[in-house]
Amino acid sequence: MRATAVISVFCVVCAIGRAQTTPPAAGSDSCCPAPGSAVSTRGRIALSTSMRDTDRVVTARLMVKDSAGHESPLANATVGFYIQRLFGILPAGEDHTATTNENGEAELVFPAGIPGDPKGDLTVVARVEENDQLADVRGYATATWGTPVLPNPEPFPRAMWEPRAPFPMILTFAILFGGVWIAYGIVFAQIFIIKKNKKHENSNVA
Amino acid sequence: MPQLTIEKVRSDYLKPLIRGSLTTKGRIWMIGLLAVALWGVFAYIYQLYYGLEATAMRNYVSWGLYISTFVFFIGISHSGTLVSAILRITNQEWRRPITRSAELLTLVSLMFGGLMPIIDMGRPDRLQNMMLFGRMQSPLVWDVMCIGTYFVGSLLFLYLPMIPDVALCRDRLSDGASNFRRLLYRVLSMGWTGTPDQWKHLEKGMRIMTVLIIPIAVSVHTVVGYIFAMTLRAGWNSTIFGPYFVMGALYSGSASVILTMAVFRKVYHLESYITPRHFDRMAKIVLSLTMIYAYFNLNEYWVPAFKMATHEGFLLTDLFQGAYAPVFWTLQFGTVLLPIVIMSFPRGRKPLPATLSCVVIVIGAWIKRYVIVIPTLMHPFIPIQGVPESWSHYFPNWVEWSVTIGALAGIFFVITLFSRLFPIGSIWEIEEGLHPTLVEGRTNGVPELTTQHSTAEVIAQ
Repeated sequence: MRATAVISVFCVVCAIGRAQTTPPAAGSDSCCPAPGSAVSTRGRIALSTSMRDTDRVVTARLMVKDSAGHESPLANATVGFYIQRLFGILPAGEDHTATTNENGEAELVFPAGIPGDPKGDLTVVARVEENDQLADVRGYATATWGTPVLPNPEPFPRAMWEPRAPFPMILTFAILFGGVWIAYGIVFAQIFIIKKNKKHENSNVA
Repeated sequence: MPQLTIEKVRSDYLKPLIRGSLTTKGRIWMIGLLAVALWGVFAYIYQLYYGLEATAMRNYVSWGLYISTFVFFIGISHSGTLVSAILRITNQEWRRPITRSAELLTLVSLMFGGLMPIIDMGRPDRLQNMMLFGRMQSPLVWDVMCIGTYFVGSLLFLYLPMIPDVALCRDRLSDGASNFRRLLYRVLSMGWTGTPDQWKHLEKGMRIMTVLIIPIAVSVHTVVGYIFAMTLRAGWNSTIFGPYFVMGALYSGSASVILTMAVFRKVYHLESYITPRHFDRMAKIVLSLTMIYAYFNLNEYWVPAFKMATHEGFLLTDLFQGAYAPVFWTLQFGTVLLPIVIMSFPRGRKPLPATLSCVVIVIGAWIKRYVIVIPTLMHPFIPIQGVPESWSHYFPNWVEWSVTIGALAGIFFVITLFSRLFPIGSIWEIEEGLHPTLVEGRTNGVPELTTQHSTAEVIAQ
C-alpha cells in the first residue's frame, strides 16, 4: 500500500543556521541565490511512506539539480530519518541512517510504538547527513504510524502563567514592599532631620 | 592589653586615613586590584562585542560561572546582617569593633553580586524591559525587587552608624586633607555635632534599620533559592531551597566576616580591639551555622537519593559517583565536616586556625554554588543529543574567569578604598563599649566628644 507522499524541497544554502520548527510548504523550491559559486548545487528529498507486509517503510529519494537546472538522483549519500518534535527532531531509532542507491533512494523500516499526536499522526523527517554538495536538505512526510497520545487535561489552573499576576500576590507584594519602603522613608527623614537640626543650631547661634 | 582610652581608639582608627599613611605594599595591592578589575572590564567589553558566544556557555549551560558567583556574592552579603543586625538586636557588646567591616562587606558584595546577572545577559541593553514589562509572577522579578530593596537597606544600615564617625573625620582630618576628602566628610557628616536631638534621630533610624534589615536579608536569599526551586529541574525541584540558601549564605557570610576581621586586624594593627575573644565567638557562630548547613545538606541529598526518581537519579549518580564526585565529596568532607571538627575545639577557634578554616569554608561555598548550578543544567529532561560536542560539557573560559576574578578584585578594591577614606570600625560604638556613661551623656545633653576630651574628663562629666 502506497501512503501519503508529502514532498518538500528545502533551501540548501540559506537554511543553514535558521530555526526550522515546522515543515516548509510542500512544493516550494525557492532558494536564495548561493553567495558566489561556493555551493551551486540544490537538492530536494521526496519522502514517501508505505507498508511492506507488516513493516512500515519510509523511502527518501534524493535529487540534485545542476547549474543548468537538470535534476538527477544522488547516489551514496547518507540520509538520516527523524521524527519531528516540538523543539527539534529526534532520530527514528538506534540505526536511523541509510545510504542512497543509484536511483537516489534510501529507505528505513520505521520503528513501532512511537508516540504521535492525538490521532496518531507523526511527521517523519529525512535529512541529508554530512555531504560535500548538500547541506541540511530535508523532506517531510506525515503518516499515521504513531501511538495516539491524548494530552492530559490540566487539573489545576496555571495562574502563574497568565499574563497578569493573581491579585492576592500583587496585594501581598504591595503591602510587603510598600511597608519596607515606607520604613526607608522614615529613616531618610531621620537623616534629613539630623541635617536640619544642625542648620537650626547655626541659625540660633547667628 | 594596654588600657584603651577614647583618644587611643580615635587615634588607632583614624591613623589609616591620614594622608601619607598608605605604604608601598598598600599601593601595590591597590594598583594590582585595579589592574585585575580593569582586565575584567576589558573581558566584559570583549564579551559584549562578540556576544555570549565568547563565553563557554551554550544552550544547555546558560547559567554558568556568572550565576554561580552571583549566588555566592549574595550569600557573602548576609555577613553584615548576621553580625551587625542580629548582634545589635541581641545587644552583644563584643560586636562593636566588627560591625562596620561586616556591613561594608554586605554592601560591596551585594553591589557586585547584583552585577553578575546583568553580566550574564546576552543583551544587557534590554535590562529596562525587566522593570517595564517584567511579570510579577516571575522569581527573576522578585529577585530584582528584593536585591534592589536590600541594597538600599544595606546602604542605610552602613551609613547611619557612620555619621558620627564621619563627623569626627571632618573635625580631625580636614587639615591637610585633599579638597575631595574635605567635601566628602562635610557632605556625609550631615552637619553632625552630636546634639541630644541628633542622637535621638540617629538611634531611631538605626533601630528601624536593625529590625528591618533581617527579614529583608532573609527574603533576598530565599528568593535567590526560588530562582532555582521554582523550576521543575532535577536537583532544583526542592522545597527546602529557600531556607537552604539562607543557611548557606549565613554560613559563608559569617566565615567571610572572620576573614575580614583577620585582614583588618593585621593590616591596621587592631589587635587591641579585635581580640582572640572575637575570633572565638565568631568561630562559635560559624560552627553552629556550619552544623545547621550540614544538616540541610543531608536533607537536600539524602531524601532524593533514597527515592532515586529517574531524573534526580541521573544527577545524583553523577554527583556521588560520576564526573562531579571528587568535587562533591571534597566539599562535603573538606569544607563542611572538617571545619566543624576544627572549630569544635577551643584551639581551633584561635585567630589563625579559625581564619584558615574560614578560608576553606568561603572557597568551598563558592564551589558549592557551582555544583548546585552546573550539574543540574547538564541533566535536562530531554537528553542532550544532536548538538555540537562542546555543548555537552561546560567549563568556564578565559572571558568568564577574567570577568569573575575582576569582580572579586573590584570587591577587594572598594573595601580597601573605603578603609582608606572612613574608619573601618565604628569608633563611637567602641567608645560606648569602653565607657557606657557616654550613652547617658548623649541623652542628657553633655557635649559630644568630637573634641579632644580624655577618658578622665568624660568620666568626670
